[in-house]
Amino acid sequence: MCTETLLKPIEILLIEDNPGDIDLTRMALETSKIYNALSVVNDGEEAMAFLRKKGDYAEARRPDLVLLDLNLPRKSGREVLAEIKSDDDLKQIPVVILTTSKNEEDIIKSYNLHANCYITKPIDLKQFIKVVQSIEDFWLTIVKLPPRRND
Amino acid sequence: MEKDKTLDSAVLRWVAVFCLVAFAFIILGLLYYRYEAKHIEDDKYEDLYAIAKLKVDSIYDWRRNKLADVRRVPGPLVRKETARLIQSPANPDARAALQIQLNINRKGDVYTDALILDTNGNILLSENPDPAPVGKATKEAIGIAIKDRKEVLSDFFRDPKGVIYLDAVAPIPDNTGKPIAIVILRSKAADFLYPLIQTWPTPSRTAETLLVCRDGDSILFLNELRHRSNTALTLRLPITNTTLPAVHAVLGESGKFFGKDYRGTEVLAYLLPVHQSPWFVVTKVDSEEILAEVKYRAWAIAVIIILLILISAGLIKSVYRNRQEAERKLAEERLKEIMAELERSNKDLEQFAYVASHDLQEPLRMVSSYTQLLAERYQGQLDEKAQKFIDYAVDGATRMQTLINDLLAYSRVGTRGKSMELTDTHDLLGQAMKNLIVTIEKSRAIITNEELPMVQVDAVQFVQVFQNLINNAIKFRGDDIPRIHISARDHGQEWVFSIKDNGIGIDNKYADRIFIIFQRLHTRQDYPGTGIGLAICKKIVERHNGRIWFESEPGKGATFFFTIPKEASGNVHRNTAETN
Repeated sequence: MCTETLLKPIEILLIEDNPGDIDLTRMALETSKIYNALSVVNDGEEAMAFLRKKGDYAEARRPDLVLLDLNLPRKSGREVLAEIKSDDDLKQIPVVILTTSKNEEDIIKSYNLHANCYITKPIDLKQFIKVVQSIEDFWLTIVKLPPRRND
Repeated sequence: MEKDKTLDSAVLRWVAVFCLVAFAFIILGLLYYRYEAKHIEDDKYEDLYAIAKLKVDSIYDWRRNKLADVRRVPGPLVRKETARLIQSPANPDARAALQIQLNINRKGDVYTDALILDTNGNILLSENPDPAPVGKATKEAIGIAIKDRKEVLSDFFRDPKGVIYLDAVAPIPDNTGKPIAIVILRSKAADFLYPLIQTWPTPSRTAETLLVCRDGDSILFLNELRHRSNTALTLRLPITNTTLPAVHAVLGESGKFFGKDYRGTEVLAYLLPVHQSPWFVVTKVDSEEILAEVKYRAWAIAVIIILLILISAGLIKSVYRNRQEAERKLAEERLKEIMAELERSNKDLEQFAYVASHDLQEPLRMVSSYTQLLAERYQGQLDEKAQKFIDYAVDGATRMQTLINDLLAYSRVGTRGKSMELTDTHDLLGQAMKNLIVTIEKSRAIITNEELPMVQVDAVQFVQVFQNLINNAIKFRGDDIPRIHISARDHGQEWVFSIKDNGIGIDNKYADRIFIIFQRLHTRQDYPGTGIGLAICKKIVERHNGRIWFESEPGKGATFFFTIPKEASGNVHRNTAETN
């Protein structure tokens, strides 16, 4: 287990269209103590292609954690969430909604679509970095996830 | 109230229309009635005239016949035999011959008697074995006949038995033309003339014909009357009684006449003289009989008018109903339009709220995050001023985010309200204090309250009102420990809640400003906050159809009041989804 972790980084997929947020997230993960590999896609269509290893993403690795923004071009985060959670192959992957929206409706809808958790991006930089690190910490070290699949 | 007023005025307008129509019908009815009454009267006069004319003509003809009959009697044979009879009154041949002539001229029973008299009026011969004695009327007629040497009709007269006769008198001349005797053909009035006068061609209860003549200073009724018995030749009335139609007739008037007859009853009459005679015919009918007919017509007209009025009332009512229905439909449609408009604007607002919450905040977050990052990454390379500028930028972005959130909270009061339910406000106060527990403990505020009522409110919003007001009371405290007292007074239609504090108070000149969104009386350094609390309180209270105000003196604390109506007439907003 321990050696495996050392050899193989934790795969994180960030689905986010705002480059500012992508940089901030990447920054937060870089300073993390956990060895991780961050992949970024900018819209819902790409996200689904990545997850299903379609097209350019044939070589993509299955993520251990998905960070999903709700407002995305082409295919919205809600649709992506719904597709992941209705796909027998993908539904085990924990999906963390990371969005600016505090909208009660967004929160309820996300949980109804089996989001694993919902987090509103804090406005403060330090808070933001802390939150991202907390996500990583919680989901990748505290939570017991289903066994990793080698595909 | 306004609605009722317009309804009343509409009803009044229609009632006025109905009254006008009814009035028009009544006027029309009256005019028609008058026309009909006049028409009936004219008709009646027409009838009276026709009958009078008929009677007059018949009487005239009858008289002419009588005169013609009597004129024919003194033929050569009669004259010759009369001359013989005058010479020797006992001459049986002459008597026999004349008797035959009288019998012939009597024409069976047309004349009750035929007589020959001498010029002094003594009866020489008569058909009737017991002739009526020669009276005054006959003697007068004989006088005229002899004097004028022509036939003449006598006045009516009664024999001793009371039978009324009239004599046609003609002189019997000798060869020189000098009257030597008189022949009389006697008619019984009751045989022909009276029936002629008294019959009436149309059915009538009161109509009758009078035959009258003048007799000195009085008028004499010559025939038997319908309404009084035994009047012929006995009933006399003074010529000065000018209300009598008969008086006017004998004074030479002819035509229509309205007056009172011998009974004193009002009558319509027509007057005509009988040509070549002293007689006058009056045809008359009681005005009451005409009136009865008119009354009958009046009833018929009244019934028709009432029917018309009822029909028009029905019509007007149905028109009114239709109009009302149309107006109602129009109002409904207008309401639907407004509702649709409202829905649209609500949608817009939701859209705005979403944009504000997400799309506006994301760039704000970028500004804030990257200025902070700038500060972090270039620490030591930036001077103190640059650090201060960065602080301002971050603070501005943060404040802007708070403002956006406050604005959303304010807009949500209207769009996200829950329904009004009967709630114990004491529990709501408890909830508010629980939400403020940290603030209260930190300030060591002492909060007391009186008994609070059950009211129809949106519980979540009501808690917000308490919370904001108590929070303000603590926030704007003076040097003493804050003491806050909450109470509610029953003012009949509404409850007046009050939150009294011992804080710094508020100058009354800010009475209006204080409730406006983002209006502040202090600097952020002294008292942080955006100035949304009281604006939200005002909006919530107004949504409950209440009012909010304060009483205060600077330095002596403030009391905030707000009312909640007892009847839950608050406009319950639709629950729209939260859009923050």
